[in-house]
Amino acid sequence: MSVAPVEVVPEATEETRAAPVQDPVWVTVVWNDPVNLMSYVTYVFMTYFGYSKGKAERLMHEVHNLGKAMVSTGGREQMEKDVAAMHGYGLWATVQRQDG
Amino acid sequence: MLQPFKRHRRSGEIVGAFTDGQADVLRFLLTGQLALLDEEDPLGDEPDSLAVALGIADGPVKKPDNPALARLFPDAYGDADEAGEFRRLTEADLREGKRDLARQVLDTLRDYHPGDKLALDGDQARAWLGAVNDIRLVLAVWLEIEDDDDNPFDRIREQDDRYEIVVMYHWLGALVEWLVEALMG
Repeated sequence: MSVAPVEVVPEATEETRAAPVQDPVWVTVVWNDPVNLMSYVTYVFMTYFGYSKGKAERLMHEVHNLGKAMVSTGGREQMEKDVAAMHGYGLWATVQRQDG
Repeated sequence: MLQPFKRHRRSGEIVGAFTDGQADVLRFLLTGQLALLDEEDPLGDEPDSLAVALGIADGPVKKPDNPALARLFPDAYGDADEAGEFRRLTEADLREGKRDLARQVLDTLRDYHPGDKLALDGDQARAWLGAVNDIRLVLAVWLEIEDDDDNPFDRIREQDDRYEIVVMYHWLGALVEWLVEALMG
C-alpha cells in the first residue's frame, strides 16, 4: 500500500468474526499490494465487515507491515463470499484453512 | 485545477467539479476499462443466454492471460484446482460488478459540463470510488509498480510514452483519497 496516513493507536476490542466451534475454521487473508491506498483499505474493512475505524486501521497496518492479515474467520462458504467481495473492491485476498 | 470531492453538509451529497480535460480523461479511461472487462470473457461474446438467465452459466476456470485482468481477478486459493473452481463460480459476477461500476460513473458524466458541480449521492460516490480504484489497479500493471517504495515518477520521465499514464495514475490516487474522505467524513 502507499501513502501513509497519520498513525492511530489501535483499539484491541472486537474479535474477528467467530464461527461455531464445531465447524472447520477458514480464514480470509488480505495480502499487501503496492497500489491500494491505506485509506482505501481501511474504508473497505469498515464498509464491508462493519469493523470500527480502530480495528480496520489495525488490520490495514498489519497488511502493510507484515505483508498480510487475517481479516475474517468462519465457515468456508462465508470466507469465499468475503474473498469474492474483497476482489470486488480490488483487494488481493485468498481463502485458507486456519491451521494451513 | 480539480476541486476535491467534498460532502455537502446539508444535502449529504458528495460534490466535485472537473475541467473538460479531466472529464474526457475519465470517460476515456472508463471506456477502456469496459473494453478490458470484455476481454477473455467466456460469457462476453456469445453467451449461452438461457444458462446466463438461469444463473447456471459456467465461468472461466483459468486465470486470465492479460496481467491487468489477472490483477482484477486474482486466484483465491493457492491450490490450482480450488482456485479454478472458485473462479468458475465467481468471475462472471465480479466482471459484471466491475462493469456496472464503470457504467454508473459514465452515466454521471453523460450530461456533465466542465466547471459544473457534479453532485453524487452515496451509491454513486461508492461506484466512483470502486471504478476509479479498479482503473488505478490496471494502470499500475501497465506501469509495472511492484513494491511499496516504487514511485513511477522517479523512473518514468516526461519524454517516456508512459508518462501520461503516470500522471493519470497519481490523479486517480488523489480522487480515491478525496472520495474515501468524503464518504467516511
